[in-house]
Amino acid sequence: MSPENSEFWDKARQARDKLTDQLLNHPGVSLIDIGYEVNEKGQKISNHIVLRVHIRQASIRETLKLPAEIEGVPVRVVIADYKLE
Amino acid sequence: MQAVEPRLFRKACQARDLAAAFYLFNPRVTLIDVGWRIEESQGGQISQDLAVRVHVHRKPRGPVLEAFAERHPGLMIDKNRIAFPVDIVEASYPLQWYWDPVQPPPRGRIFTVLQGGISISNEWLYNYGTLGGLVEDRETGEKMILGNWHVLAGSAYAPRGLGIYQPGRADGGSFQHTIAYLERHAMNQGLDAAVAKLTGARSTINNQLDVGRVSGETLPTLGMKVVKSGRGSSVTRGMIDGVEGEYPIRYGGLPRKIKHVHRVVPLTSTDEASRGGDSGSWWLEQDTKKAVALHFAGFDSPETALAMAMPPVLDALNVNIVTEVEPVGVTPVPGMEPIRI
Repeated sequence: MSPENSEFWDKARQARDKLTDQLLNHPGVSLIDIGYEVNEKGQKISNHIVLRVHIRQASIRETLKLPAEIEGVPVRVVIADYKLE
Repeated sequence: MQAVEPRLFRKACQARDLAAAFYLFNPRVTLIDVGWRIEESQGGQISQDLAVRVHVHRKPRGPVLEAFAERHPGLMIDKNRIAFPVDIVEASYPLQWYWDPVQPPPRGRIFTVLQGGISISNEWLYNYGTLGGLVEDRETGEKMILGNWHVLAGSAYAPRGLGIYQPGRADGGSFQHTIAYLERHAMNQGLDAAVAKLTGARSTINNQLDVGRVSGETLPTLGMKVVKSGRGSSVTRGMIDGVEGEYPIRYGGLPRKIKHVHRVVPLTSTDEASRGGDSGSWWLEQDTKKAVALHFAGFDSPETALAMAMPPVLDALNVNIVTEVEPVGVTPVPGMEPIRI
């Protein structure tokens, strides 16, 4: 499915909303977004568009029990603890 | 020097108290005392006449004074309100412990012309963020500055009318550096954004320091190359690698979410995306200089920045970006530029 396809973006947004409802109040989650596929350190590894759950510490990952994909959109974890600047 | 007759001195002190009640918190005023009148026409000689002396940073004269009175009637010292001779003295008195100040960083100094990318804070919080840029109310056309809620307000209790300083308090800003008053914010719409109405004490231009003029607004998109000018990290460049994110935050004691979050990564791994103090700066599309996002957070390892899409921010606050080239507000009166205390 092409990232430019509006159907893809509709699905991606719905999937993001599901994840947000489930996880955004988790104290270990710092952001949920849609973006390029990255490794855990946040470095881009491909042009594929994925759902990204940003977590404050690697150890939190196990507690979240994330699915591999939602609505056909892959889910990836990024470790990043964003602070107001 | 002649002795002062005690009754006259008491009357002078009463007049001084009255003058202090009227003018001590006028940002022009540096001291109010009782003393001998200083004769300007005699080269600053001390006279034999007792006066209430109102000391000010700058004392405009002649046509400059007339222009100043017209633009800032609230800052004028009316001698007729004091039932005693009043002398206006031009003098500043920096605190002595400030004898060898560390020079503030370039973006932390006083800017006589306000623009994006420079230090600001509100009057409550000892910190600094970035003045984002110039906007206007969609209904009234009033000119305002747009930045982050956590810089311009920073508390669910922050009232409308809270003073905004340039530079920010942690850069030495204080009451006399008030350039705007908090008007409204968009936290209730899930956006860390706020606007403050300019006082008109300084002129404002559509410019991002060391980047240039903002040409309008557009939605940020994945892969877009962007640039920003901020108090913390100056000019940085990056690429949008994530869009439409949601960020958790506590507001008024309750968990809330910031919406329309976009993530910016540096163009090379050695570059910086942002730094503390950049909050409120505007990310612009690098090629068109259109504002695409309002910066509010970041992370150092790896270097990343978070910003909210600009169009929903503008809609929530009911403002438009000012794209004109001409300065807005007052033109600084020669001799009346703010000075650092």
